[in-house]
Amino acid sequence: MKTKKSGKLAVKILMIVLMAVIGLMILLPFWAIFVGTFQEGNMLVRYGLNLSINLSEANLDNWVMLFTDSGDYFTWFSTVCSLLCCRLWEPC
Amino acid sequence: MKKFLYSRKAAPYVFILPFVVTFAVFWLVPLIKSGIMSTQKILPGQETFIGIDNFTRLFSDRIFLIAVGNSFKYMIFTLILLIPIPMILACLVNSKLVRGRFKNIFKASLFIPALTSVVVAGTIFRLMFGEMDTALMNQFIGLFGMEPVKWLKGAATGFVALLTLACWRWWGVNMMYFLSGLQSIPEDYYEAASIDGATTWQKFIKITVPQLKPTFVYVLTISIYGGLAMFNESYMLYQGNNSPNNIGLTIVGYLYRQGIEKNDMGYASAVGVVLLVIVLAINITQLVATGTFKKEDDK
Repeated sequence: MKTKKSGKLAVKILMIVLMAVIGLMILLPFWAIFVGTFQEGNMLVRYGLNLSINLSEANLDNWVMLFTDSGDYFTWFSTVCSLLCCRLWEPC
Repeated sequence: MKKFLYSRKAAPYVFILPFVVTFAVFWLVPLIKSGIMSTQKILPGQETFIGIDNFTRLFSDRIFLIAVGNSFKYMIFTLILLIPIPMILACLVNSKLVRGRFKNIFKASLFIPALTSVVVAGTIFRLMFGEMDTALMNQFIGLFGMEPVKWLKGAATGFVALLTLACWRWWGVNMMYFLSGLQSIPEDYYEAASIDGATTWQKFIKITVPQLKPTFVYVLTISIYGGLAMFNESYMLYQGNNSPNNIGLTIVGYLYRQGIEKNDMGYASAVGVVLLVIVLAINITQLVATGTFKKEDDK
């Protein structure tokens, strides 16, 4: 009875570990994008996306540019919102 | 007029009219038109009937055959990777051993990539599969003592990148399909099997797998089409439709190259018609083989 219980616990731990590993692997690219936002575009193209942050070269330029430079972010954001409204309206 | 619309005879047709009109305008007409275009040589303002010349040219076109080969290879590998693994993951999520918040976090993390645009996903993967040893995948294989690889330059390694992208985007979606199938299986079946002394494996093979058949057929059908009609992933990964030695060229990619890049709409239509015939033939065969067209009484 005790062996059966410990076997079940082992399977449960194995499943949790497996699911955690798969879940983390799936989420890795999102972390890579986030880290990438603190690097310059040409550096990303040259060295590729990776998971580590090089603090000596990291900066907030991309974020500042997103909300200030010619207001592109707000243009596409409003376009996306308009499209979303059309899609939500469509079934009605 | 109102009396006519509200009559028992006319009302059903009025209800289905919006669908029929949409279907005809956006599906039937373009299909017939592309069938006609595939028998024409089309130049700006000039359409000449050339019979089956486009098709004859197509089947002796080496690049087209490479594209067909790539699409078939991609379809077969995606079927191998995108059906059994999500089914197993769905069984894990559905099992009673893992409960609560962890299960929900796992489901969400697997589904998030499906919400990502192909353009974004393709760009991320292109940068992750970069040539430098600092790129993520080269860092990863470096952990096992392997040398950096020029992923997108080689046929096999480029194909690995395409398949990784497909798995990343579609595992979550397919897992959700299987999960909904699993949750619709009545619990009584498993209880009855337990009383009869069935093991977990026997329950899986004798109850879960047969009950998941409709979901399996659906996922198989959309995966066959998705595999053969793949284009965006390859286009984004190779930053255009010109992969080295056409290693990432697919049937739709070749259609795009001929129709949009070379402006040969007649030839591109012939590529489209061939793709339609291939997809229909494979899907009808598999639907007949899996008994989808059989009546309930015959099954």
